[in-house]
Amino acid sequence: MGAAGHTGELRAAVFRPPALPADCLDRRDLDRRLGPPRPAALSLVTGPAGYGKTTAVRHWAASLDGPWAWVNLDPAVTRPDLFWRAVVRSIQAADHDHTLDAVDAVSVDTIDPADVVRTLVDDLDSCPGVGDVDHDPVPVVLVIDDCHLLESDVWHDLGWLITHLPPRLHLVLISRSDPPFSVARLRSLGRVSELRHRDLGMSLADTTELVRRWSGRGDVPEVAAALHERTEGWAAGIRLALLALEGGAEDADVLQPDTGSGAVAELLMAEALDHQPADVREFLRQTAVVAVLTPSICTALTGRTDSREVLASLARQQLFIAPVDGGADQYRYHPLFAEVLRLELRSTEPDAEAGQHRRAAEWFAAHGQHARAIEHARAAHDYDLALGLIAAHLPELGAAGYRQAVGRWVLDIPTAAVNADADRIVRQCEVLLFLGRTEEWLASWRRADVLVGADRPDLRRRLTLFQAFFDAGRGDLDGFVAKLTAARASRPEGVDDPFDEVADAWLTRMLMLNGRLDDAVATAEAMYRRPRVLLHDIPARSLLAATVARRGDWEGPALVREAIAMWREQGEPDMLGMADVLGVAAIWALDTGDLEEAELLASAGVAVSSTRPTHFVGALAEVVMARVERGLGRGADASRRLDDLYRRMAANDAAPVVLDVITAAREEASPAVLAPAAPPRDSPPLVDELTDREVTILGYLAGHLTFPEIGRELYISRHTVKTHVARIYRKLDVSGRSGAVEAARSLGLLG
Amino acid sequence: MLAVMRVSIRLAETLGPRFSSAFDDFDVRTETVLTADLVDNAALHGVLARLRDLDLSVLDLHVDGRSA
Repeated sequence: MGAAGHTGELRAAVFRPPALPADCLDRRDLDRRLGPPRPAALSLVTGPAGYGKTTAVRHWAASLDGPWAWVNLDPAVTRPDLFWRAVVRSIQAADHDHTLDAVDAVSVDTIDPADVVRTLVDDLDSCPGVGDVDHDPVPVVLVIDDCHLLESDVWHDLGWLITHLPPRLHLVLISRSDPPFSVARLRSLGRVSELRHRDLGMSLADTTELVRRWSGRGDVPEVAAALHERTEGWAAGIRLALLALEGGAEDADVLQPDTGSGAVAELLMAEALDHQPADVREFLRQTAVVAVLTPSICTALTGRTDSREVLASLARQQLFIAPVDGGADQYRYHPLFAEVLRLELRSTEPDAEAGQHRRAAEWFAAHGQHARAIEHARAAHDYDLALGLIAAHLPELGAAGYRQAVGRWVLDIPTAAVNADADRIVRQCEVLLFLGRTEEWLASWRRADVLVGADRPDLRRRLTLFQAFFDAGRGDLDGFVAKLTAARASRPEGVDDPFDEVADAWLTRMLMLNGRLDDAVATAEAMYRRPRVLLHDIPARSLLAATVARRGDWEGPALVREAIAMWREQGEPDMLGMADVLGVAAIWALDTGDLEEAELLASAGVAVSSTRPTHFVGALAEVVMARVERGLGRGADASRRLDDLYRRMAANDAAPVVLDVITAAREEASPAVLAPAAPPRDSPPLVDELTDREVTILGYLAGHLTFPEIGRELYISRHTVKTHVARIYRKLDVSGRSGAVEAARSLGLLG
Repeated sequence: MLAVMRVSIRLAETLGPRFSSAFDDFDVRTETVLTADLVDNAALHGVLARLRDLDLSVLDLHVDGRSA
């Protein structure tokens, strides 16, 4: 699975601060206005595009001693789940010295952004190093650039963060507009510092300095005075005017044009572009559709094989693009220029824009950056490409946090465009079903049922299968089997539909749910052995292991342990297919008295199925969790969980067999459907001592690597590192990293 | 902070105490007219976003004394 790698590449630019231009003006007055990082402080840096907001904050950040984190917003991270992940990850990445032990452990896999924000606040509230009174902890500076791109949902949580600013945070928002709420109260408390339009504008002295640096002219003071008046200190405007002059524009056109009330930006941009060589102008227009420029993508967009040299030369001349810090050969357009260049492309070649987006989509798809590929396919109005990419990469996109985004992508496609094509509507239906968006799925399925004719037997068959999967989610075995049988009867000769794999997996679970264990094992074996396209090996193997274990076969425990170990090493965090096997293992751990292990396994089972709250597999995971909670003496939690679960499942028309399981669990009986038929033989010993792996990780904890870095060293996911660390903390009875290291030292575990 | 413009916004809806509190930096003249002195364009766009997020309907937006 390359999902983590792909999205890692995609995300990297999100955390990288822009590079500080080598010849950037040393505007210390602005640094002073922002002041040193302060506890629970907010800085607002607002102004129009091109006023040097980002540069000003970057200049200030470079002067800080303490940690600072930077989030660049682009359309890929404006949605709540992705945004908060980006925030947490950027803080984790910025925390080189591990002053933020707690933030290291914030779970970014939490589905609810509000939880992430609250955890973040809790963690930044606490001050580590108690007794270290000489050193007040330096607040972490968190810079969020281009906040005007954020959606209302994000502002809602951000507003909460601002009213609950923790002592160890200094938040800096860079935006073209003020936040969509009043900060009057915070202002009155003196906790807000601001850099605004009037502060950011270049003084005459600054303008003179820029003219001196950027042009070889002799009449610097005259040009500077004219530019200062014309641009009112607008940095980008000064730069554009100088570019135009360097390119050979007439002084009069640039400095004292007779243009009435035309927008300065439009006029200056036109002057600057018109005086570039034709090939440079073409290169700029053709590449303006992408957020991050690399030589490879520019070659795809322009056909020029010398893109690396062109980019380097543009950046050297500060022609509209700037290098990204720490990203080799990566550049970013100044956002204002990118917008104007896109407008230029649209006005000069109306049809070219979609074509450029399509090329970008194809490049990103070929390089495994699916989310960006889909965004460009949408911008190109190429719905088939977008839907095809979504359907082909659904599990990876879901695991990478794009679950909500995918739902919106699919639902945003104009209904007329979806209805116009049978393949499209069936694709949309498929994606909605897999996202568990029940209502939208039903609406989409009904439209498809009307619109897909008998001339497409392949698609009709698929619609029947989808309907069967829907019954499966409710736990309705009879409905499922009837529809599955109908679909299978209509399977064309020699055609192998990958959805049959999925059908076998559901049939296995439904048979298990209904206690038909021999049939379940036979189906699971057939499912596991068939050549698979949609079902990955880890969930397929896990489902077989769960079935065999439930029947009480002697090899069950070994298969279960192996499946869970494989998932921990290389699986995705929200693999729904793991729920069954985690449930079995949790019950075993409970029966052998290993309550901690049982809780860990049961919560993992709930976590992997949490994206499908009305699905019977998720319901069973919750029943297991409730049993474990009772075992831990938390009977009240268990009862509340089961009551909520019953209401939710009943409201979603779950099959009686599912409701019976929940009822049995509420009455504190042990539902037979969950228990393995035979007690496990060859069960793992109760380990209180650390495993070899845990000792290895403990060694790393004493060092300075972050969890993600430890993961990279050991070739395991950060998620797996966290699981190990949680166990280490529990076994050593400590609550944090420093405690663990201390305990390990005193036990002689660290040599 | 030196204000450069006085902004008056007339809304189609009447603001109750809850929504009024979202405009605590405004002078809520009557229940449908909000008035404030703003410092720049960024501040004005922030107010527009606030109105958008509360789904309020603007009948009239008047800006006075803008220096630029």
